[in-house]
Amino acid sequence: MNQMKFRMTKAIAGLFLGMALTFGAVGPTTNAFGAAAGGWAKITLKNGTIVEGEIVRELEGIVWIKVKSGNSEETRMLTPDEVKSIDRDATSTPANTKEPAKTPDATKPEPAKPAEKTTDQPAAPAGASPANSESASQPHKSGVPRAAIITLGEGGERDMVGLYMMAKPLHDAIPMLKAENVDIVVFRVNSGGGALLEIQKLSDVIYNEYRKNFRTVAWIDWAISAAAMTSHAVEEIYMTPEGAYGACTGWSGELVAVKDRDLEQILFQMEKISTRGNHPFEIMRAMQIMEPLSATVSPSGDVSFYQDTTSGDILLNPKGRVLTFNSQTAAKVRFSSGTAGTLEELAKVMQLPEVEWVGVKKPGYLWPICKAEQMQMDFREKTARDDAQFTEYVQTLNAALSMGAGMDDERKARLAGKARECMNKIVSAVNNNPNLAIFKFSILPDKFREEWVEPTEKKIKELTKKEKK
Amino acid sequence: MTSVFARVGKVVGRTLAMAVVTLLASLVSVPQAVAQDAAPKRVYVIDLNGEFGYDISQAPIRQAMRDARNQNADVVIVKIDAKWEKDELTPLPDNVASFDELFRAQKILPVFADEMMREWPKPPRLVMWVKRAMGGPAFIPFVAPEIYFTSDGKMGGVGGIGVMLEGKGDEVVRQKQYSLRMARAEGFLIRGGYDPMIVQAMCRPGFLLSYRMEGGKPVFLERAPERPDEFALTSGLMGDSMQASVRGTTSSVLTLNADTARAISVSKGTADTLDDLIFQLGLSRNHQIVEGGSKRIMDNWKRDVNNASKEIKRILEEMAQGSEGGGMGGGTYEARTQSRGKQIRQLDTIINKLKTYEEAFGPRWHNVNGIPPQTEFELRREQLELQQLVDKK
Repeated sequence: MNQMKFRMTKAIAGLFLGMALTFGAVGPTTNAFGAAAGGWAKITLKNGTIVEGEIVRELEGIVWIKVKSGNSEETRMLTPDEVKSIDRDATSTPANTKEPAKTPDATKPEPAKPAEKTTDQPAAPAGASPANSESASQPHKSGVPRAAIITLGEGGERDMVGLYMMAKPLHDAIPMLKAENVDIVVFRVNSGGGALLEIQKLSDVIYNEYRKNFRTVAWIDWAISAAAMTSHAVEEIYMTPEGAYGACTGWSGELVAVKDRDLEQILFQMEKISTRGNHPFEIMRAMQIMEPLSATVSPSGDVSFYQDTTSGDILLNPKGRVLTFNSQTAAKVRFSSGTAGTLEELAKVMQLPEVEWVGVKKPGYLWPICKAEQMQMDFREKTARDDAQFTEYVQTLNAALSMGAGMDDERKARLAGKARECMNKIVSAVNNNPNLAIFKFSILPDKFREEWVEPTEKKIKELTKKEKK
Repeated sequence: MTSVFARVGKVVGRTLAMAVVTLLASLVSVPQAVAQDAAPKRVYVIDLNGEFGYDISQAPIRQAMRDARNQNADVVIVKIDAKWEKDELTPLPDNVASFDELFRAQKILPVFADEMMREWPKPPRLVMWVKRAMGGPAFIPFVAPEIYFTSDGKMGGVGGIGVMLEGKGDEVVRQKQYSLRMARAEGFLIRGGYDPMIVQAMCRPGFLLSYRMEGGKPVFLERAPERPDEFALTSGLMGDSMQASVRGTTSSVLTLNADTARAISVSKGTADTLDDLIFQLGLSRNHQIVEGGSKRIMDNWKRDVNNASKEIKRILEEMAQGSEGGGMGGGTYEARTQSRGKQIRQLDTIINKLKTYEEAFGPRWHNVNGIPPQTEFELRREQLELQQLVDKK
């Protein structure tokens, strides 16, 4: 039996906003709507763990604390249910701390220089710093939290990670969410996976930008492969009754697995992303490779995972299989915090007695469409149109460029016009979705202009160059 | 009587008058309430028959469900009798592995799930009535909490998990593919309130499952029966004998028939006629069959899809015969222009039909009929326009 055992207490994250509003300040927060971000603190959790670091944000009882994790820093979100007390003694900042904190927690920070705190601050869009975000999440007149649904993939043909589910439009949507005073972002995931190259970018946007600005929740309908690996940066996960999450094996071509060093890199990458989501890494590992997994849930709700089939009471992944959670297994081992088929059910499992879903109700949609969501839908719409017609653009362009030989100037000019029209469509498609440069031309987006646009422009000019008579 | 009333005081008189009014009101309202309760339940029936994914497709089903909603149906009965044959003379055995039709079923299921919840002011009582739900259609009944079988009903033909990709690529990737497929199928059962182990037994050859009844409910056991009150649902073997295949008694994967489905509480009962079913639904004294348009809708769809299919083939034949003269070569400029114009119109017709009936014209249809993908027609059209652009009088 593999002796390695990972013990974790899953945050049952639903609670705060509504609870805080109903019962006043829950736990050790400074005030119901928080704000007193900044400053070193030692947080004692109800399970005895001590987490020490810089509080970067507080909102309605939830605390975001930046802690050292190995050589890197990460920001953990702690819910009022988890927190027993917060010691905000300024004298215990790293510079002043002489005695190392006695804590069994792996997240115990190493002393960090104040300057590093600034420079290590994750890249955030203009106006998206935690301090600025507070202005957007001020209490509303009604005191009811505002939540928005953002879809990641929409199933069918529009679900591929890297093409329809991308970091860029998510990043671009943040100012809109702030403008609509959104407190809670619910990512509704419906994707069968896609390109590994986008996972880190998506994870970074979710972790560094969304989780620092909003209570960020994933509502999983279909998160397979890269879609699950992306969602793994979210700590608070809910599932639809038919939801599925996992099957994260990397592969290419004729079902050929990613192997050797590449595999090790992905496994390591996902260990780090598991830490971001506060998920035991063994879960993702069993989703990536054929490693068995079992678990035991203690009467107090603690879940222990074992990388074998016999040590735990619940067999999650038999030998020789790859793990995908359904909604029942995910809930059983507390990977998901609840199961919800409708918005009303979701609000209930998120423990939001009252919530204002931001956006416009549209026929055919289960949730209101906020501006940021409309942006995702428009992005996918244009990508789908461009993706479907891309071959046509390219082939027409090439045909126009190759047909000019022996023709008179007038006809060459017509062909050049057609070629330019096609080129412009391709450039517009890549501007909307930079990854099309990779998938269609095997060119990195930042090299697209240099390696494709400029040579094509040159060819078009040559086509119209008048021959000396 | 008049004198008695004349002697009572004003207050008493007013009270009595109010009591009389109240009594009268209640006398009037009681029959009204009874009448409301007694209003017959409007029952709408949708027959799904023909080829799955072609005749049985989301567009006509959606249209039929909307018709049911517009008819204020209280109960919608969906009878499934899908073709399960290699060709008209060769029926398929139960253990044929058509698991991947799940992904086709996935496009139909929302019509009975999210769309129904969204589009109906009060969602109807949805009843699935299974005669032949083999292959992709086997996943559809699970969307409803109420399933009934005909006495010869069958539901299965979705094996293949663990074996369907044998010989392709690496084992870990095959396992990934099996895992995600199973999770999706399990999700459908969970949503409908069924035990996901049932679909494991239906889909994964070698998965040994038995059950026993406890308190009127089945308890599933991932092992062979060990007691007289335990019953095997699958053999645990990877395959079946030819005899079993011919006789329809295969057990490497679970095929639900009326008895088994009833025994494990998938089916709530067995009914061979609509009257039987109505009776079992408890509506025999209080229902009204709605004469909706579902038959017309389904028939029209089949007719339109077939016509579109024929039309595309006819145009392609016509184009193949008259392809000369459209290029840069022979004929006058006017003749070439006319020829290209005709071809562009023909291509537009094909493209439009492919778009309109996209859901029925899947990869299999393209393959069987030798029809290129839509993008090829769009390219051809673009080339013709280019040729026209540079042609000279």
